[in-house]
Amino acid sequence: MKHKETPKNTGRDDGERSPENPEAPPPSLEPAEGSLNGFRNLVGKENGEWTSGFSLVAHGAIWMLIVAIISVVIAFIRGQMEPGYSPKDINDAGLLMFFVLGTVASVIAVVAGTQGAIIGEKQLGTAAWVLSKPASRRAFVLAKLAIHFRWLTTVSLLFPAAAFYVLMTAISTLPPPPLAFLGGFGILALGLLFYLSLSLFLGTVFESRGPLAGCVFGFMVAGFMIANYAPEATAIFPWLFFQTGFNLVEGGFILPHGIISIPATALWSVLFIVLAMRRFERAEL
Amino acid sequence: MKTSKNYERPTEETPAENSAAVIETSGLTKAYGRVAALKNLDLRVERNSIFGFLGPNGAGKTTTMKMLLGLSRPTSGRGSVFGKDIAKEDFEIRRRVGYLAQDPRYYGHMTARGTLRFGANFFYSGPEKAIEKRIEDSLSLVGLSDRADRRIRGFSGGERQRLGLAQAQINAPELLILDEPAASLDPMGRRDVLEIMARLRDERNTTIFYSTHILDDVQRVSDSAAILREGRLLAHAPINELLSTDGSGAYEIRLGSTPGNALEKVRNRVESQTWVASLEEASEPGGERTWLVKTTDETAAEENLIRLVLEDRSVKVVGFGRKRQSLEEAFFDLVEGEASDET
Repeated sequence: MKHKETPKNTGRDDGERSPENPEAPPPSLEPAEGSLNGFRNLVGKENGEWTSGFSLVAHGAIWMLIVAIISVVIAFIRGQMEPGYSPKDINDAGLLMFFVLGTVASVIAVVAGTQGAIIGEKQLGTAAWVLSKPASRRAFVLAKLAIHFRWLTTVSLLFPAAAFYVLMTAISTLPPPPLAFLGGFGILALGLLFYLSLSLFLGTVFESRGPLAGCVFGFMVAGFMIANYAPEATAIFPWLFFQTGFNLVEGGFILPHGIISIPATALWSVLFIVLAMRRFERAEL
Repeated sequence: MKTSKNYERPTEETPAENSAAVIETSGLTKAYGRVAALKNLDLRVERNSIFGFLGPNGAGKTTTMKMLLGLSRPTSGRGSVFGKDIAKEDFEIRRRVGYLAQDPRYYGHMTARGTLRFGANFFYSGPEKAIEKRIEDSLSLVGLSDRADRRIRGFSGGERQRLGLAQAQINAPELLILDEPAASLDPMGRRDVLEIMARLRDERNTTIFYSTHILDDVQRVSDSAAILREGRLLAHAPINELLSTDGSGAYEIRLGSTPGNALEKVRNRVESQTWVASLEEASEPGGERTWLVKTTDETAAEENLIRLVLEDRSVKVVGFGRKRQSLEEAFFDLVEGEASDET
């Protein structure tokens, strides 16, 4: 090991002296401050994890295939099988598939991408390492929320949605109404935020990934089943977001349960994040 | 030894923060359900010292360290670091502390330099040049400059440990808390770590609180030590006190190669003294022998013992002195003695 003179423990020393004036005091290190100390740093780390490996490419390819290509192919086949289909009918067939697959894809992407976001760091000891620094625990959770939302939305919804829109327009010759399509995309993104918040919250509750994944999937599947028997119960959760999105683009309307479920889902998402931060604030690492 | 000209002491310290003790705990207790991991720990770690925290696995060492850092909360009792309450002011404490975990894990996608930058950015907002300089110094301190831009996913255990030391002192902390810092290192790596610890204390006035199983290391560099077993503090003293005799007035005489009959006579002469309680003999390589003479009267022993031995000119004495316990002996005496008391 090579050894060097160790700097003193001032926390404000060891900048570089200028060549013109070697005796001039070095620039002081400025202490990081703020109630969300470390947020930017943690955001950078989360971004790095997404962009440094293959996960971005893998997620991108899988969801592009499942959400965009399959929906378009099905719409194309339906158009070929039914010569009487108008361009709008072809669009509707594709849009229904897009919203169903987009909903399912966003839940699977959330579970695949975030089941270990908090649990994995607790188990590995990286959470304890980070939080042995003057890092805010709230920043730790919020950085995960922000960056996972950013990339999961991008790879499982945004890129597939853009590709779907272009390809659908190409095969039906009638572009779906852009504003309504954007609204439908926003509804799917809100659903993704809900499941992501739930996943992060459950990450502060459970100590292993299995129960977390089971709960998130279970919640989605249970919702589809409940919708058949007690549709009114779907009004406060995002279970029928695929239908709400489809109705908006296809018919320009949203059913009453859909109108309620949008703000309700937003509120649930905020609640899960607040609960996740509160639980993580008290977590033993 | 050079000292930095731009040395600045932290300002605005309260009297409690200025106290000679950096760490103080009183009745500190941690329980997980019905299992008590730590029971009524009273500890005091002096400023600018190296403090060895010893104990078998599960003794409560890591639990104590995590409570000091605010990563875990005490069930009862209290503790302070720099006079700040570990339960209420942990954020402020962590600004002035560096921590190396047992079996440290970092983000595999980062390089060594990136890991240090990531750590430094929790403490400093700039200027970037000064932060980069600090990172370079830290890499150099632990001998990782040539691997600075390699991803740490491929680092060996020893390299990870060195990186751990570098990141722990990236903020030039006043207190370093090191959990088994030399555990996964080869003998040279261990020596280097001990050297770094001693230099951080001597050159930077850093207080070092570390746990280890390697008793030789504690004996070599520590100023004080505490021994913990099953969450209970068995001993807490300056290292010299722990290493002093066990109170029985024992003396060690190392004898060179000596004819057997002459040795027998001297042995009988020593054993016949009223102040000699026992004499144990051990053979050493090269024909040397070591006598451990336990006495009941230290004054008589110090005045007469060596004279008695040297009366016979054929006996060669190559070493004589009061028997000092090794830390290993002290450790096992305390830990096993406590265990037998309980049964």
